[in-house]
Amino acid sequence: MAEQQHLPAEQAETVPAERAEDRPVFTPYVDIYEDEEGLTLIADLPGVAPDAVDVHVEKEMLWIRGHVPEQTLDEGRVVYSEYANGDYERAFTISQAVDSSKIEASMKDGVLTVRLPKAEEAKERKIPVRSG
Amino acid sequence: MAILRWGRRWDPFEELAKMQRHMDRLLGTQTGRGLFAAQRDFPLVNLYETPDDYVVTAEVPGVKAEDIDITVVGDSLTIKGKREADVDREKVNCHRQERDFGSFARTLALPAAIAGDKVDATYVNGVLQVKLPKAEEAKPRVIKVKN
Repeated sequence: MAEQQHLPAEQAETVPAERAEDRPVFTPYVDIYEDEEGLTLIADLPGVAPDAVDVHVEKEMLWIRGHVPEQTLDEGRVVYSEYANGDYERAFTISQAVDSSKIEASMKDGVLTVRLPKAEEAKERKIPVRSG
Repeated sequence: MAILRWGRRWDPFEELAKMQRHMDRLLGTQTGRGLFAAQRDFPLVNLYETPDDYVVTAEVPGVKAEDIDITVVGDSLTIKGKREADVDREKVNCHRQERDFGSFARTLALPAAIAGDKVDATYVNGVLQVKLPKAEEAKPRVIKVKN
């Protein structure tokens, strides 16, 4: 599929900011859909509480960050592990076609949904063809 | 779905699959799809042990708590459920599709018998935590050594 210019293209070289703690940072799985009104980005952030997610736009980049608290289990020991605890981070380039002042985000059951409405001038317009 | 046996013999292929999963998560790549699609397990689980319980945590983001079905028989735990699609994919343009939908089921064989009637499960922020108290006969007993 040819990527259109106004798509949120993933930034290949994300430079993580300096971190106070030394823990893994994962890239979450993401779906991106487009309809006539805008784009919807859905990211799996299991373990991230609604108040521990950070979505912001900075220099035409949409940043998604989620913090997962350390697993605490009294007297527990790990017997078997398929996933590690860590934070999530991913960044996308957004173009002028998105109205960044109207971006909305919601978080439920470890899934982040970000709605990116298209700017008025970027919406498709149907041009009627007159005969004659 | 293969039954996982904790503490089984070392399996180099499982180790490779595990390494692949970790690399995928770190790099955000999708090698779990395509050729090795069957190796992308859902949900991913961790198992912890305390003196009295086993605790299984599973990453099930986007699944409603009422859609998760947990059954315990003897020493085996089954987590079943269904993840519904967020949007009707026929009506929108998909630009990126990394998340999976549909039914899932995983069965785990625990290291010891479980008191099935005392199992307790909670679901917070897309992570399921199942607390499985050990059966009385499986609990460790401290034996005092007499002089």
